[in-house]
Amino acid sequence: MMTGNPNQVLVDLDKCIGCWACTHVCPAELITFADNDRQRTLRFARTCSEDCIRCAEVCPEEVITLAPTTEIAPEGEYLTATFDLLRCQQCDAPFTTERIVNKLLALIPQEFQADAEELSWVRLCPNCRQLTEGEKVAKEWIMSRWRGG
Amino acid sequence: MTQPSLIPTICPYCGVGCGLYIVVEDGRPVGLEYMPEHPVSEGSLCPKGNAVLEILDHPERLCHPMRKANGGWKHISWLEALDLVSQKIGQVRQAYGPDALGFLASAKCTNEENYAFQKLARLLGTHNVDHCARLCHAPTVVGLARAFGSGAMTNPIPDLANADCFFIIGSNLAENHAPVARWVLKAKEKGARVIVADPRLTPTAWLADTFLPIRPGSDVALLNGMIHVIVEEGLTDRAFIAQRTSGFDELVKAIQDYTPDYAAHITGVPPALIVEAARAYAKASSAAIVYCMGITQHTTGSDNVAACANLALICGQVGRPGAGLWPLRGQNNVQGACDMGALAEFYPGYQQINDPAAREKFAHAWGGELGTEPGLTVVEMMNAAAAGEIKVMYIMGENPLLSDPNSGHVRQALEALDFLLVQDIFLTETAQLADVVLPQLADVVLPAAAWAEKEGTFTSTGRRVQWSHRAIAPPGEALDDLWVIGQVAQRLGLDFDYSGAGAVLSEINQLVPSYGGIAPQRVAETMGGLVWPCPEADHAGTPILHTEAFATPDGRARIVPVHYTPPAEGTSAGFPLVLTTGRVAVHHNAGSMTRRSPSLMKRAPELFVEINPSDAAQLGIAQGEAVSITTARGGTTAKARVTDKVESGAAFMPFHFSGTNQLTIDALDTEAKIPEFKVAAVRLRPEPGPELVEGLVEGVSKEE
Amino acid sequence: MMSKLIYTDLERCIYCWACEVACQREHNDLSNMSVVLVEDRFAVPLSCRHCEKAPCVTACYTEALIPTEDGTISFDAAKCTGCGLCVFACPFGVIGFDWTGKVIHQCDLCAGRLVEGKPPACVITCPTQALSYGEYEAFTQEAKRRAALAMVRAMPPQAKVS
Repeated sequence: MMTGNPNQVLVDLDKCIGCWACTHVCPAELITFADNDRQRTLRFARTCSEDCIRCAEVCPEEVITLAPTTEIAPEGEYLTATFDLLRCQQCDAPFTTERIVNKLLALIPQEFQADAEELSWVRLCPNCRQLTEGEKVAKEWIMSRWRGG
Repeated sequence: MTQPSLIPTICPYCGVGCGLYIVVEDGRPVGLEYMPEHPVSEGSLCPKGNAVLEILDHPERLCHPMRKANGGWKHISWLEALDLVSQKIGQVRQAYGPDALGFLASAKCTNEENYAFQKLARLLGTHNVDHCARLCHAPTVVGLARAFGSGAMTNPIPDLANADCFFIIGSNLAENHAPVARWVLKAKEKGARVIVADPRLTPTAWLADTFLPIRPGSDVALLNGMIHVIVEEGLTDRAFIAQRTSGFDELVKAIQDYTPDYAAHITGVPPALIVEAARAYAKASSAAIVYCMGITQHTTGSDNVAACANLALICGQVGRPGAGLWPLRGQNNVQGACDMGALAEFYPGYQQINDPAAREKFAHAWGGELGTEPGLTVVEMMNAAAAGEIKVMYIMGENPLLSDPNSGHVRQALEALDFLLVQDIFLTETAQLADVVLPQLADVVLPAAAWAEKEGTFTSTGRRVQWSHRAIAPPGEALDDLWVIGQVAQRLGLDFDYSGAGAVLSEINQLVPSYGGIAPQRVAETMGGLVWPCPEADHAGTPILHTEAFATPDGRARIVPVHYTPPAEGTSAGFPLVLTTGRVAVHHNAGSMTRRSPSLMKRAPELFVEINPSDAAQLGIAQGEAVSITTARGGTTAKARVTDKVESGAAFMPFHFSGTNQLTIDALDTEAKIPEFKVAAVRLRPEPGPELVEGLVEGVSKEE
Repeated sequence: MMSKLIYTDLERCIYCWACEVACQREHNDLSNMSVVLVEDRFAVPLSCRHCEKAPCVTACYTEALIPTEDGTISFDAAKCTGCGLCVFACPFGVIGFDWTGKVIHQCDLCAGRLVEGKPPACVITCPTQALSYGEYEAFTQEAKRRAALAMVRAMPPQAKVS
């Protein structure tokens, strides 16, 4: 049932990084994501009838534009985008998209991307980051006790 | 909207007895607040204490009396339930005599409730009243009482900060009595030395300066070995021995053969470490022995406790700040349930059943005839039920189907009863078997109030009697155990007319000398409660025992030599590994409360078995895989944890989950009647999977 | 540095998870504390470090995560879009995602308790006083005092140096 002015949902798939922001925010749940072992699939309805622009507002990369339209796409017709998931270097579990990781690598200063032993935490999933930090901290602690005696 | 109030209660889980506030708003428990002014916990709480709210509004709380009908449960009214229950008890008592009745009291209920419960049983004519202390510290109650005249912790928990040496044996206090670790650490900060003896490298062992990896069941050999070193090297406290003990000479003769090498041979602990531990303990100015299930849950439990006492006595390490024995009691009120006489061989206050003077005193006070012989203990009651001698059991706040050894036999026993009444907050395994295909066990289930829904006193492991206040009402039609016991008693012709917990405590004040001064108003208003003995109204309580004299007739402690005896079940070709059992931090005993707490289950969701990597490799068992574990009594499945925490030849399983006690043996210590939970011979196989023909692992075999 | 943070004395952590369960109860059933176990022997409690140049702040484009004057990182759920970028920007993996509320969650040093003069829940609940809340100087002084006492004792035989 149509309520507001229909909008065509336009997504710049080259710039989309496959994060979750827009998937949470649509009142009609027209944007969803699903992960499998290898990929994340984002699905956008091609038109929406809601009188809101929340998805466009929350996008970190500003890839969504909503253009008024008279052509309403048939229900069940989606714009689909797939993103390769990066697998954790330690446990091999898929944890986020390659594009998100690349964005973070560009954002975060180089000197923070690896610890003293040149291990890059960026390619580890959050769980393994915790374990790695735990191991590092434990080792430091043992070393300090050895120095003591 | 009323202002939220903070109601002070005592944690319902373990014997440390930490204080915490329940935040109540409009009669509902909305939060928990810490109690930094509590003398033992100082505001801390272990993960279980932090999760207590999860059992209060739990959807599985029993809310109505129920009786078994047509393969299911039928809600009945309290009137109908109480009438039915008293009828059954009365009928059986009439037809078969009162010893056809069996009563299991609750280490989780208040002192007042346990007192009333054992009074009910005894006035009905039977001393078949016992409780789970039988499964944990019965050797302490019996063995330490024989040595010191009193079977309780000698010094308070905070006093641990005054020790400069700790000998922690058979206790995983870091996981199971966490605030105790706080006080050990305070002592460590001042330079105290910590020695831990355990078959596993537990978090408690992490606190150790010296770790003794001891084989399960070899404790007497270790302790006698240490005593041998101390005697040989002249490190005994001769003045103390001469003035305050008796029996030293016999001990010297008895430990002749327990050289460090011999002790090493039995225990698996390197001789040098035995010598080191012995010297450290004896030379310390104040040394503490902390022990728990690793010492008690054996067929030699009483001997193990006696050996600990002997070690302390010959070194004069008793009766002073920082020097003593700290047996860590498990349940929040197991100490109290024992103090209140919920034991087959004792009246309240440890006055013996077969002591005519005690019998006369209680018969007079209670206005009824009392039997002369001690009754049956927990495991003995199960055996009697299986044999048809006990026909009715009244079980309050206990879950023997999960907690007792040899579950297969327990189930048979409970099924053989004519009538089983269970009074609890949840429909436990005893009340209802977990497997839905099998018939449910209890005939009538009565819904009880949880700790925060009633008031009364609980006695912690430190002899600390504390009043816990009522924060909220119980759910549905649940009522507090004291009321229920009173109602049953009245219907059976007994004059039980208590206005509340306070009235019962006042009666206890009259009959139990060590509780003489622990009056209701006084204890309710004292942060941290009162430490018994507290015989008079103005007595401050007694933190440290045996300072001047021991509680024996001649005031001297008794040194009773004991010899090493191997555990009841040794390994064999078919069952080559030694299984030992124990606990984990986020679960508590039978798990009826913790296994219903989501935040705790999340962290320890299922039964596991710890197995050493070399044994795992030989048996083809991988981390996280399902393993089948079998003993002569039965089998179960668990998830494999391959870890070097356990030595090769050993395995460990927690007993919070159904299954572990299918495996354990019900062989008993002859004096204390505690079962040997800590040693069973097992075999492990990956499951499903072909049985491995070769690859049987060298285990610890029964030594001559 | 004037900031008050949570510090850990690893000598004392006994891997009991009291801090995690407490944190979960105080924060809508989501724990911001995570205790990891290294080699079955060393327990390390981990939570938001309130880093000086926090990558999570850099990644956050709505200023839901911002550094504050008292040297901590604060989180405003109202501004959070649930994009998840900060979760993967955190080097220590200690930012969690709340799938019910569709926002992240991070250690807020129990701000609600602090205003009432109460210490963070994990700190007060820790049975062995392994966690403390305060300024770096005070913590290092206490740590040095404890370490000095520890130095006079022998190493436990099990510690491995790999």
